[in-house]
Amino acid sequence: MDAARQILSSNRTLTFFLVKMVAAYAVWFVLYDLWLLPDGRIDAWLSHSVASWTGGLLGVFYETAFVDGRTVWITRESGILIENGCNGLSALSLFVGFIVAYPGTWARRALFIPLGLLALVATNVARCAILLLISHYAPSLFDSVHGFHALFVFYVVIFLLWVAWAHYGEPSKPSGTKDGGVAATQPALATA
Amino acid sequence: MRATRSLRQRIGRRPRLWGLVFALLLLVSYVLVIRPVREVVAQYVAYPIFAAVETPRSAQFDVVQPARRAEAVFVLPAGAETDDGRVVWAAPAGVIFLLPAMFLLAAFPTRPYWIYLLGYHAVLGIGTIVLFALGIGWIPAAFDVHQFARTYVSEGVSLTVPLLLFLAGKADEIRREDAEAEVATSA
Repeated sequence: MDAARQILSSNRTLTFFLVKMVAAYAVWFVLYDLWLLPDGRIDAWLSHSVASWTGGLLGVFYETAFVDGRTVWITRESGILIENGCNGLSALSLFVGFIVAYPGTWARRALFIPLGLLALVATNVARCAILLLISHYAPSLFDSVHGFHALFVFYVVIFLLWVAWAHYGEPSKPSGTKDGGVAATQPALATA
Repeated sequence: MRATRSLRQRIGRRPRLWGLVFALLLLVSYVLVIRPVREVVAQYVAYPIFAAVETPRSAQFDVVQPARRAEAVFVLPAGAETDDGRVVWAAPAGVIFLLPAMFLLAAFPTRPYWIYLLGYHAVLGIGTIVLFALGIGWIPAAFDVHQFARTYVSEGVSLTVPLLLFLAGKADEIRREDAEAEVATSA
């Protein structure tokens, strides 16, 4: 958490951090827009996987649930299509961009990023399952839940993962470590 | 001035409670004020600007106000029957403003951080209008830059800055508690 204080200690450090983060997103965006989107394989794989896992989850409760490519059906009348925009890829990259920009060790990043991605994919599977149930039982609510509440859930999960990373990723400092002055005079914070 | 100070003191005595009250008030004002304003901006500011762009490139597109999304403007390939292949402009200060702003109000009820965030979204919104208009009329890549600004720049910064403020506040809190504990121990 001391890293956050340092980032916010001046406009310069905050701007530097935000520029670093936006640059990480820009690299991803260009990579995605120029190669991954036209290629289509990563979107297709993720959409099919999310559809398959959503079908698997609903299959526990509904014998009639089945998956057909990117579409998950709860009955022959009610289904949802997992389009590229619904597979959660942009949320995954949003999550990773911050982890890359925020101070932390690469060894911990290598462990935390896959776990965070799994958590986000699980959130998306739950979101798709709930959306499918809503489209089946309360179709009039589908648009508002799809456009508003579902986004809310994604942002909350990403935010919580970032908080977790700020606690986990920052290497703890031994007592008396000089750290820009402030922490050096307050060694008790090394336990934070 | 005196009234403001007394109000601040009252809030300072129960910051969590007041923070939640303010966050709920923001939610109510979002539904009653900000959302309608977003729709007005989309219909009476953004749409006329986009529809007024007339260049050889803009002839490839239809600028449409979607019936079910009053806060958005769609650009479709000219003559398209469905909205597949649409490019979407959405008014600023949507969910990605509301969620962090509520959080900021709940965590820092006496600080105007949420107003700064609103200002940031307003400025970004003006930027996206310019980029979208450029995309319709002149520069194809402006649609990509607009998409980047609308997603990563808007979402990333909106979620990150409140997080940093929260973490810094937490670090200060821990520092204060540790200092108090140290004083108590040495006494």
